[in-house]
Amino acid sequence: MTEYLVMTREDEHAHASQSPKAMSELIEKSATYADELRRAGQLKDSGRLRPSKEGKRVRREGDRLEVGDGPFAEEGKALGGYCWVQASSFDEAAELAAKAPVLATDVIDVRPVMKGMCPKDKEAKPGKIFACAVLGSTKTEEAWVEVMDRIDEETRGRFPEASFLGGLRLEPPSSGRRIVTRGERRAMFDGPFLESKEVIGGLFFVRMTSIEDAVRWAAETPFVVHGALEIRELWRT
Amino acid sequence: MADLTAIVDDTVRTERGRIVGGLLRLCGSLDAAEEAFQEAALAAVQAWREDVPSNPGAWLMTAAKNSAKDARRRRVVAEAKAPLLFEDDMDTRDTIDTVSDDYLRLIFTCCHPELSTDNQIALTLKVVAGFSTEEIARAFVCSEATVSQRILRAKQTIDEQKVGYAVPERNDLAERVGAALAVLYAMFNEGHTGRSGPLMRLDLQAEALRLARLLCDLVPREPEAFGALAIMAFGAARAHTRVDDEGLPILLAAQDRSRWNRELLREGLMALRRARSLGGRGPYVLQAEIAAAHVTAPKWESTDWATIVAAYDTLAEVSPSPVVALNRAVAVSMLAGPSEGLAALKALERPLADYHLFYAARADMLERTGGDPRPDLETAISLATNEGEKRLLERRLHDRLARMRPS
Repeated sequence: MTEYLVMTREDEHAHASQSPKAMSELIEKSATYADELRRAGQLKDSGRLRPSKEGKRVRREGDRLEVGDGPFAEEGKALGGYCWVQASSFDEAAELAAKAPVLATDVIDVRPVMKGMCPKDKEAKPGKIFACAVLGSTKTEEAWVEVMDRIDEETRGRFPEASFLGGLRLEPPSSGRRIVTRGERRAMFDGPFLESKEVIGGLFFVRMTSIEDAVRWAAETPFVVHGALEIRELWRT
Repeated sequence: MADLTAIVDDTVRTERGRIVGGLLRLCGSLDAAEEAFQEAALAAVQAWREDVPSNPGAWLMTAAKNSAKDARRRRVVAEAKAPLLFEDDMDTRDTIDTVSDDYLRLIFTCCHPELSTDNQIALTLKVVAGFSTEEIARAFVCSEATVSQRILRAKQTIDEQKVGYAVPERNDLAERVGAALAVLYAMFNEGHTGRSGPLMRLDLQAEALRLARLLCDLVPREPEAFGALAIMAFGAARAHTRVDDEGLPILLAAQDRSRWNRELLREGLMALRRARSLGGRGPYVLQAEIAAAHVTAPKWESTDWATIVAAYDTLAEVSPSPVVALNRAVAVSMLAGPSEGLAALKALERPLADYHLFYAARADMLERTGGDPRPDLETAISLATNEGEKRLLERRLHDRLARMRPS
């Protein structure tokens, strides 16, 4: 079994303007979807992110720390949720991903997991839970991999600390697949997706009292030296 | 420098709860903790004039701890006692878990079941939320002296009863969370319906909502906390559509649903989802289920009354009360017809004899069966205390009278 990360890239405007009924149905359908994967023994972890306008992006430019405020809807899409699944093949993972309940305006990305440590019941502990997306922005995949390697190298041994709740590193974007909904049909495209400004290289979870604390913590890490870190609070589901 | 004042005020307000909670552990008394915090806040105004620290909250915490230490040293010298604790005891490291415990301890102390509801709310607003006595007095439409008295009495009770500033053991947690939620819910309702006056109401509601969110972060495995958060979020989402330009309440059936705040609705739905995942079926979760059925209905006519009646049935088992029975009867009248509703109301006439909404509900059902609603409307008007509700009932009566007149 190989592990994959199924991520939804959501059109936040479409989500925000949903009717309360549609909103409720999507929330419940997503919960059922995750429950079914869990019962089948294929779900390692899942989560939904609060709107990106509440999030922060942190990077370091020389001595200066840049903290950007959300929303981060590049191409109109922001990271909205994820399922960390186990499947016997990429095709199977993509099939599972294509069943995820999303709006017609959303996009699903499937990426193989290189390695990871699964958070154990991360929502049970006090504090706010933040999902941190490790982002790299380079023109070529080689350069992107180099950035991720460097971050990986320099953060080794840094974890675990009390606030760390697990996380994963992804295989390069060229190994990913994108699923786009067109009416009733879903079309699939293979990576890389470097046309996006920031390409996600990993996702991990920390527990903090506030996003300001999370930003202060991130400022001292190698993530923000070589790439950027997008910090987003998770809903407890 | 207006900017500096704003930064200090903002930091003091947001950091207050967690710092006073930490100090409570070190000082052992609410008064001493508040005093140390106050000193640190004053020191900040001076010190930050030069340079605002990069982590204002941490600065304030350190300053407050130091001032607590000084106060204790002075006390030890004055009372010529040997120190009971070594200095090292004061240097407790702030981890997310100690901070969470400190905060929880503070909330549980202010919401202790030994205190009366009014005293609990006054103390919570003062100590946890950092409202001034004047602000609390305005919110409750009472004198500052009354508020001071409530706070004083609450602190005395805490001291006398040796309430203990401890975080409860896991077994007691649900009960203590329940007590805290009752306080936050009362605070929210005071802002929602209010015994009088619209002033400051929304502030009260916003603060209750903020504290409910905080409590959910502190006890993320308690479904009732998420149930209460959901109810408050649904209520806050509708707040601005509940009153018309003349200050009269707009009933749910007539509210402009397109103006409900979607973000708050989403927050409520997510909180309810969490409560469901945790398997919650307590009174707050059930009321949240009912509220969710209302807010997700595209219009009043398409309300899912079957779900609502079922939730009321369970609620009547879990926490029976005449008001729950009344609301259930109203839902029954919508699901099965006004005659069924009237039948369900029969047993409530005695326990709710002084409750205006009982008569308002019966008037409505009578009218739907072709009966005369006027006597019940008149009784409801005579019993209503909220000015807006009274005027709305009067308008209803007036409309009926107009309709009865031969044309």
